[in-house]
Amino acid sequence: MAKRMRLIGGGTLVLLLLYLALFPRPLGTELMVRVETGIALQDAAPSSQGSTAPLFPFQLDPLFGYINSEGALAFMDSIQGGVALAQDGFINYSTVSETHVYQDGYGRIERVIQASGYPVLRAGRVFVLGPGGARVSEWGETGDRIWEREFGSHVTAFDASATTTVVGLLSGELVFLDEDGQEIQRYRARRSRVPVVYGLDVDEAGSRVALVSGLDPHIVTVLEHDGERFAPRFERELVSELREPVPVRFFETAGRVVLEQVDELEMSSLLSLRFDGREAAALSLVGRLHGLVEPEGSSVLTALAEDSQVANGFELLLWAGTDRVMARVPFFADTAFIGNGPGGSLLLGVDARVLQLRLEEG
Amino acid sequence: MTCFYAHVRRIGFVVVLLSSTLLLWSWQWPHEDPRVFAGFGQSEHEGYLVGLKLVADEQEFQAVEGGEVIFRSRPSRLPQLIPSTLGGVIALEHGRSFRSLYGHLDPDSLDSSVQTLELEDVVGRFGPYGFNSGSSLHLEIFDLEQDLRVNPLLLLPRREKTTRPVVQAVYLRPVNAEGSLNPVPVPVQGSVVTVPSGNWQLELEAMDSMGGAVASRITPHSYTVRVNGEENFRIAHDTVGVRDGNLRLSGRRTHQEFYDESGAVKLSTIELGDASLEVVIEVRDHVGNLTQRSFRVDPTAAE
Repeated sequence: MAKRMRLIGGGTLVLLLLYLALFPRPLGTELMVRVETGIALQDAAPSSQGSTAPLFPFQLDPLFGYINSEGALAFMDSIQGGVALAQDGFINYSTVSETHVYQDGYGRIERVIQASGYPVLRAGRVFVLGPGGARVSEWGETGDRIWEREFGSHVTAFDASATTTVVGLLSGELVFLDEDGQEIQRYRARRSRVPVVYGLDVDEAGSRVALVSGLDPHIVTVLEHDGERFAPRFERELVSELREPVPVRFFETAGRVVLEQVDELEMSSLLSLRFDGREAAALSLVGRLHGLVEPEGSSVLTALAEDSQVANGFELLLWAGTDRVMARVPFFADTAFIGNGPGGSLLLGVDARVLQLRLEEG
Repeated sequence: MTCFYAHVRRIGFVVVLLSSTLLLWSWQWPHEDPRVFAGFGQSEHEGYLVGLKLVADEQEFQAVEGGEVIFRSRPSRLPQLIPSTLGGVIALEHGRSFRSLYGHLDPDSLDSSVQTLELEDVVGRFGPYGFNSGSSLHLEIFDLEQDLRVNPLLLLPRREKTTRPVVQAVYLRPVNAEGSLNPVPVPVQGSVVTVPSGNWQLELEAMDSMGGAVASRITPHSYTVRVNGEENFRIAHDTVGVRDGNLRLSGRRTHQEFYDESGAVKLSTIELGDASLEVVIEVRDHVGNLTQRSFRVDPTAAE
């Protein structure tokens, strides 16, 4: 009996050692989504305004607000005509406002700006797009106008880093401005039959610009600053026939530029390209893109798409920018939101609830 | 020399515009019975209106000419996209370098699947969308080759117009005068104004009407100033282009240079010496109807 036990024990040990020798690492990782906190907005009361810790914005029409680093509600209000939201603060504006009040994430008034138009917050800077759609101005910390420029045609795309502002025009031109609003360069992608700028993104360092322009074909171009000026690093034709503003964004950790494209059959997809253009992957969406974020320190992109086949349907997708999607989570909601949360978490807004999610590999 | 080139460019543009107008006989108004609510080059939100604002009984409208849809914009919740001050927007390419843009549109009225629009097709519905205190259609016509916005009234079919521009007030404002001298009003036709010698900015308040509608109160089309029979100044609301980050009416005047804070038009500066000046101001609408104001400026007698 004892001998048999020793044989079984020895055999088990040999099998275990053999297994460990053959598979020294886990067979694979599983991505787990853990809900850390959940806030029901109708019952929540904002926390005290004393803190200066970073806050994380959310927008769930008709509400918007901020979550603090503990995952509690810091501030909440109703959207007037529109809201420009950034991590540092917001401007809640009416549709015909000529005065804009910039408030921090706790709702404290920081500056008042006298300007007609709609505000845009980028890289800690405050811009206002003029009522006619062809004027851009930047406003300083005391509410003073730093610069203002008018453009020869309608502004169709806009982005800025701390040092570089880039304006895309209906005429197909891209205008680069310095910190004082002075023009430093113009660029026009010339391969398309019809020149139009549909989307652009400036990376955080202000050294790369992703541009979607032209009709027949739509072309994505990544321009890089070579020390003197921005020059195209690569161009790629798109299947898109969208003729509409295109969301395009750099994801630094993932080393990719990601954009939405819609083909002739109105099938929507996300296209991911490496910065050098040598590798591309596409992810089919169930409908139009509704949000796209990269949790801090993670190379997993999180997309929120509307489900065009189902009323009030949404889908949350986790994607590493490769040919395979990591997870698809369908759900129903009247309104939904995806954004970055504290400590590398995600904020998922579903109707009047904000969930703090954490992606974990295990 | 600069002046010579400016004349050549202006003549060149008019030739191109006239030939385009002859070629583009198919241009049409977006509505059967539109009313021009605000005119091209009018002062609006401290800038030029670079198109027309139209109102009509029907909110559905047609394109000014058939064309290809090249841009269509709706408000978006995606933070990567910018908000649209013109609400829903659609832009068409018509060929021959012309594009038209329509704003303040109901986003739900824009069909994503449409790629071309014929003359008779409905483009969408306008309304109180975007930065629009009322319910009007924003119409722009853009000449891509010249990089100019063109006054649509020069291209659209002429509508019957029996009214003339109305000159509401004329002022002489002292230029570089010490102290804060108030502008001197020029009260009635054929008047004599006596002011100290020096440079005086001629300012004007005027309006035009397309006739028939209460809402149609627009800017006149052109202004000419003659001093002692010689042309001293002329500007027309033909085009708006951009130079040095500023929109310029007829390639010359920025908004700040053309309008004062009250909305009066700054015309030319007249230099008054020891002799009287005969001043004639001609204000025309876009079909050429003329309203004229003339007066004499006398220098104050030396003590």
